[in-house]
Amino acid sequence: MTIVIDILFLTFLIFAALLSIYFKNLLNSTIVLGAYSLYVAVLWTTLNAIDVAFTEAAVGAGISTVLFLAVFTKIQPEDRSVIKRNRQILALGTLFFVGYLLILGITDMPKFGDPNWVTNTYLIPDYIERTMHETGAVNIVTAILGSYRGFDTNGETAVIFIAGICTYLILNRGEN
Amino acid sequence: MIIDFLIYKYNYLATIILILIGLYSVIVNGNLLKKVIGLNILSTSVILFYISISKVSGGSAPIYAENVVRYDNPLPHVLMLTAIVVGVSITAVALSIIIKIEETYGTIEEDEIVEIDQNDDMVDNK
Repeated sequence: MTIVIDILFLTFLIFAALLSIYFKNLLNSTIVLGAYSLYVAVLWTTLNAIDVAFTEAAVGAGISTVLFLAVFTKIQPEDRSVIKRNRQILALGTLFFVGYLLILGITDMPKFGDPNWVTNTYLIPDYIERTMHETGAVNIVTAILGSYRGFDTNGETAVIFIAGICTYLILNRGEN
Repeated sequence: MIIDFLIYKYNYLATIILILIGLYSVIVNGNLLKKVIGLNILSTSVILFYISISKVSGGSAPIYAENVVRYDNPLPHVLMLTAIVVGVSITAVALSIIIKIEETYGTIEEDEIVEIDQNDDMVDNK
């Protein structure tokens, strides 16, 4: 049953992605991209990744869409570009090559949800066992994010800070 | 055999299709905003790949509860929380560069920007 829902949502997802790059009106593209992010958030919930789901719903579907809409105060919301033939041929060649390599790669992947694969047996049962009495957190994801990989999260905060400074400096460039 | 491949590896196939859609948009579209939309789709597809790896059949969400046989793999979830936030930071910086390009050139079409650069010796460097 889970697999049926999964396949259905992934097909919707591919349609939404195709639509958002197909539209010539950029406002349509942005709104379909917001719907795409929301689909993704629901998909994470069906795959049991709850923390990722609400981060995606708040940050991906919310803030990202608002940032795109804020750009439309300055630019024209229409895509006037003409697709060049030679560039399209180059792109399709590259995509076939990359796609072929990636499909070769997934033939070695395990079946979806295989509990005996190495990523689920190495180190992870140890985390799940020790988290409760070492950190006291009920949510294992929170415990790893804040405690075991705390430096990683600190680096993420630094990335947000640098991105904020960059945006501020770029937008105020030339206005002394 | 091909049916088995399609059903059990559909997540990975969908990841590949989304990667290719994003790359196509980045390479072919001349509009800069469409390129940023392509980058967004690309980053989401990578997240889809990691979350698909973390799912264990019959597993429950990685929060302690009673009567649970098996938990999903929590480590990819943590990594992807970081990836989502970094993706939004990339979007913000790219969009601010787009606004600056629009103020300087008056357009965000790649072809027109290249043309303006070739015609003018000195671009008004704001």
